[in-house]
Amino acid sequence: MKKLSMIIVIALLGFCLFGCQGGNDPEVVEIYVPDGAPALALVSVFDKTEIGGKQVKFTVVPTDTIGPALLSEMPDLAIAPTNAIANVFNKGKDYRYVSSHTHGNLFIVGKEKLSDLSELKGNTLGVIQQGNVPDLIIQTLLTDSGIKFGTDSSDDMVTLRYFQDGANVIAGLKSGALSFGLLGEPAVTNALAIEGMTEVFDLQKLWGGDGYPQAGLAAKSSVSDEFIKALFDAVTEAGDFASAHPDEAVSRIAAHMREGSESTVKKLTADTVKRCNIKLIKAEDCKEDVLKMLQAFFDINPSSLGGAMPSDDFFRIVK
Amino acid sequence: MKLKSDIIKDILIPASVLLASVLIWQLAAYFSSADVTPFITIGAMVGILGEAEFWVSFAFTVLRALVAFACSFILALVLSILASWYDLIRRIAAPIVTALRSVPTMAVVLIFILTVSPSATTVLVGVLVLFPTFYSALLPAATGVNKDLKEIALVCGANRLQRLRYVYLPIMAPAIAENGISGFSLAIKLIVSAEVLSQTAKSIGMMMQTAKAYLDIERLLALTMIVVIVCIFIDAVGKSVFAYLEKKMM
Repeated sequence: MKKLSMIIVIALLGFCLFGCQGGNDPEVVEIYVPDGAPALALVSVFDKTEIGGKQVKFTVVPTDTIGPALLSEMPDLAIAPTNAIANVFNKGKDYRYVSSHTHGNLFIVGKEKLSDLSELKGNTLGVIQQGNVPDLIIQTLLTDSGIKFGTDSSDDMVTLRYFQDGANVIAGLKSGALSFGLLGEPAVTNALAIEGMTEVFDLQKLWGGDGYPQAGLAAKSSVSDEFIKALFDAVTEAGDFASAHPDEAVSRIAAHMREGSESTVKKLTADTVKRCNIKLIKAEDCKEDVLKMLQAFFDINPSSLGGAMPSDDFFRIVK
Repeated sequence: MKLKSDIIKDILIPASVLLASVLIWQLAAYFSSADVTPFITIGAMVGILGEAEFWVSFAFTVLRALVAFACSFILALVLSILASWYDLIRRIAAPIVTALRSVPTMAVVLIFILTVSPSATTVLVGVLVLFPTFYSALLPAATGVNKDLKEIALVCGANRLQRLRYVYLPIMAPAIAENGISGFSLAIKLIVSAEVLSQTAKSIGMMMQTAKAYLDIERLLALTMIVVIVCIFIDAVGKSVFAYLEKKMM
């Protein structure tokens, strides 16, 4: 009897373990957005509970959980780094690239003005989000300029030192442990508040054109074209909401944070929002820019895209 | 009869636990969308073991763990013996050790990473966590040395160094060996965690961080399994060596 009870308990525990995966309500379209600048891409429609006749639920998640969320196929749609969307697509997950929403918000700050990237040689550059867009962008720019870089210290190369987030880079700049820091808005604005700190390089200008498609919208095949069109229309109709109402944008992000998490976006200004370079460009119009950026990332490290350039059906054209 | 009992205790039971764990893992992978089965992970492990980058990172991680372990163990041993000799030292050390034990590891990383290199940060984190643990374990062993033995040694004219070598260390040997064995595998675990937090170059922790950044779950799990296997191996070897030495001394 004791042995039977033990078996039943173990079996029940096992069912709890496997059954604990919370399922989404099929009637609600779940949209995940990472904390920080990408959240500004859809903040204008956070107040909506219905779009295109469907119930919607927006959730702002901590930045480093958006990739795993896509891997687990949790949201129906998500704003995510473009390379992360390509990565999960290459891993066979049911997401395709629908539109780009942020086009570069990265800047190098420091206490010294420089005129060329090569002047970074012999200095330590603090970099956020190792393996993601900030890291890959700076590696691409340095490679294209023929500048050596690595994690060792040397006078003939740029030393890259990685940090978990912008706050640590700012602390390093303040203490003098770092000569320069690569940061994204809105962290750049915080860094520029330090005495003597100045913007050294605008990575968007260095990249050329109108910047690079840093983050985009990924959608599952189960999401209809009609819904996506309705979402695009709602975002376009809301206009430049974050710029016009920065305080309201901060409140909305905080209100939609996943339970148990806290947003790192505490304060915004219209100028900061502008520098986040938010604009919606549909897949058919940004396809070339996306492929150009992904090719550059693939050349740096194929693992950043899951080992291969995504195939043509990576893009979902919604007319 | 004893051999049968030993086989069951030392081989069959651990093997059954391992098999059950692998089965649960396989079932969890089947039912979840992660799809990382034990066999995929083993394949990834074999791939990693063939990479030069892995062995360089592994060597540096083990070196950091060795330095952190050695510094904290020697410091704890010396201080625990001094604390057993001098009440004043024990009283001064007590609140310091309690405070060190209470400091959140993340806070230590965040503070040190701004002032020292990421590599030094991981070693310092290791020392700050390991030292209070070792001290708390070795102090009772040092203070537990029989008073009569100490007096006999004094009467026989032994100086402090001789009392340390012929009285304290032999009596403390079991505690030293036990903490040494478990302490080194704990050091590796701590160093790897600190490496992830401080993004240390040439480290297993950084390899794990990179795997996570690239959503390469197989690689992340494979690296985790390698660290677990190394720690189990160190534990097993240490216990065998200790058991052999113990038998020899008897």
